[in-house]
Amino acid sequence: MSLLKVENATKRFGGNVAVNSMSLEVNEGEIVGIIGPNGSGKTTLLNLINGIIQLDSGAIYLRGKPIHNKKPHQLVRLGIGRTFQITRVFRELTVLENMLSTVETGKSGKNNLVENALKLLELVGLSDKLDARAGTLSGGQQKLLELARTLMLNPTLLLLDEPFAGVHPKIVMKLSELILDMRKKGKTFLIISHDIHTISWLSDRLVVMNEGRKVAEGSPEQIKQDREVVRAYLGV
Amino acid sequence: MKKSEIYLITALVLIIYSIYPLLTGDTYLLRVLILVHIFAILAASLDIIVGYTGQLTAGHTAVWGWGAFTTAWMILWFGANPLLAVLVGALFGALLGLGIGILCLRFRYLLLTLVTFALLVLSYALARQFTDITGGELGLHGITPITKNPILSFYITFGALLITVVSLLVLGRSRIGLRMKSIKEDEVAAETIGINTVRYKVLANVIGSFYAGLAGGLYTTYTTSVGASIFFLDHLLRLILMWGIGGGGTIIGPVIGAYTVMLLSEYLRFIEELRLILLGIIMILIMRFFPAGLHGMISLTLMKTPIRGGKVK
Repeated sequence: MSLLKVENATKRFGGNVAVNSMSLEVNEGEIVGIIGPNGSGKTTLLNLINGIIQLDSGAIYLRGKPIHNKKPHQLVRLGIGRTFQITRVFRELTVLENMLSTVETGKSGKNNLVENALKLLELVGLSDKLDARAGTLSGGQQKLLELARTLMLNPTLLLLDEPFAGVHPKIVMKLSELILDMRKKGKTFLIISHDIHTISWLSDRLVVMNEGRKVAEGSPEQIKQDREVVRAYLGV
Repeated sequence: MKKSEIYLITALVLIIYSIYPLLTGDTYLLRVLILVHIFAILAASLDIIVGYTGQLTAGHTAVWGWGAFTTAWMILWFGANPLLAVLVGALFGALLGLGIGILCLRFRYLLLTLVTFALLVLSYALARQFTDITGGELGLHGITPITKNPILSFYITFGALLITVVSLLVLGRSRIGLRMKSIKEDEVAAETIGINTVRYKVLANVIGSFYAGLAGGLYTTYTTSVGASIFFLDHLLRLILMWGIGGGGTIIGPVIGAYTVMLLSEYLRFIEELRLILLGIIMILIMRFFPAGLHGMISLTLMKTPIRGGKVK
């Protein structure tokens, strides 16, 4: 059974069909990349999966159980973590406070909470910024903080929206290494990215979206050869 | 200045403040300070709703007013002990907070402010309409005070203020407070890190309204009367001034604001209606140049670290 299954998901905004009969499966321990031109419905798909917006039709399953009527905070308890394209750290809170504002889920006991936060901040290289206001961090550091904050929830499935956009190449490397490392520890990733180079290198499988639909799917090598993809990007 | 020195100075100020009523014969100032205590409770309790969860309510003085009426009814109709009646007023405030909290979930930003403001207007209309139970404009009188001794009144209200501030500070600095602040900053992000935003927003309303009800009860047992005028806009305006001038999101800030606004209004009586204009200008200047308020200013001067949390989005 796949970890995540999206079945004919459709979402309209007024007359515009943002996600159109989209189906997708992600297996446990996989890294799946979603690519596609701007406005192709990638972020809307992620918003549907983590419950920020509701489906018009279709279904979404996590380990075979329907989750499309659940709220984001309920999905956190089921193991779905999420980061955003425009980073949503709590700018007025300190780095450590950002980490501690998360809820406890399953394994993370109350006692080792601070310990866990410090460990994760060490992992992303923000240990020396504990008391800095999150708003004062650089864009890349905010991305790292957001990822670390998501990891506090000990998610099994991580939805990352443009984790490499507007980030220093060094941090892109660091993020990629972190993702591969966490995959080894059993975590599953669904990543949206415009950085074709990095996402091809990271992913086991790529899904290409255009105008709300899936237009291609396959290994990064297969996708590079796909004429449909070239057409979606270049419009020829 | 070091943190320990700040604590020492605060403790000294509190001690001097606490023994001052025993030394002074000035009951006029005592009476002013009793009212300051009551409004400081109201301002601090507003902060957990506005400064922590970012719900810009304009209905806080409505809760305060109904807390006052409940206390008055308990005493006048059921002959309840005034202290017990004040507690019932606080509990009724909490109940109202639960209702308002649930009602407010559907509204955000300006709409939320408008809806809660409508509740205040509605409260005034109700209090004027049902004169049999509210006394209308003339109000209800002869409410038994907790005590007639101003010195004792000072200590009772000061004690209530301390309990309010300490309990709200403990809450605010706990993880519950952190989660409330994260909701104020970004509700969607708060949801995605597992925070049940509905629950925390309602909780903030319940807790804030409990203390508003308490302040209402203390007010009515101190003034021994209550009428429809408790829902006048003046009270709300004064509360906003306290919150803004003191510096929201810190609990202590609005308390400092309450002292500043109440004492200035009292000692500037000679300029009459110009007082509100003056306070309004002070608030605009503070918001423009020092959004963290007087509390932020003091803490920056003493500790050289800026205080956070003043802003509401």
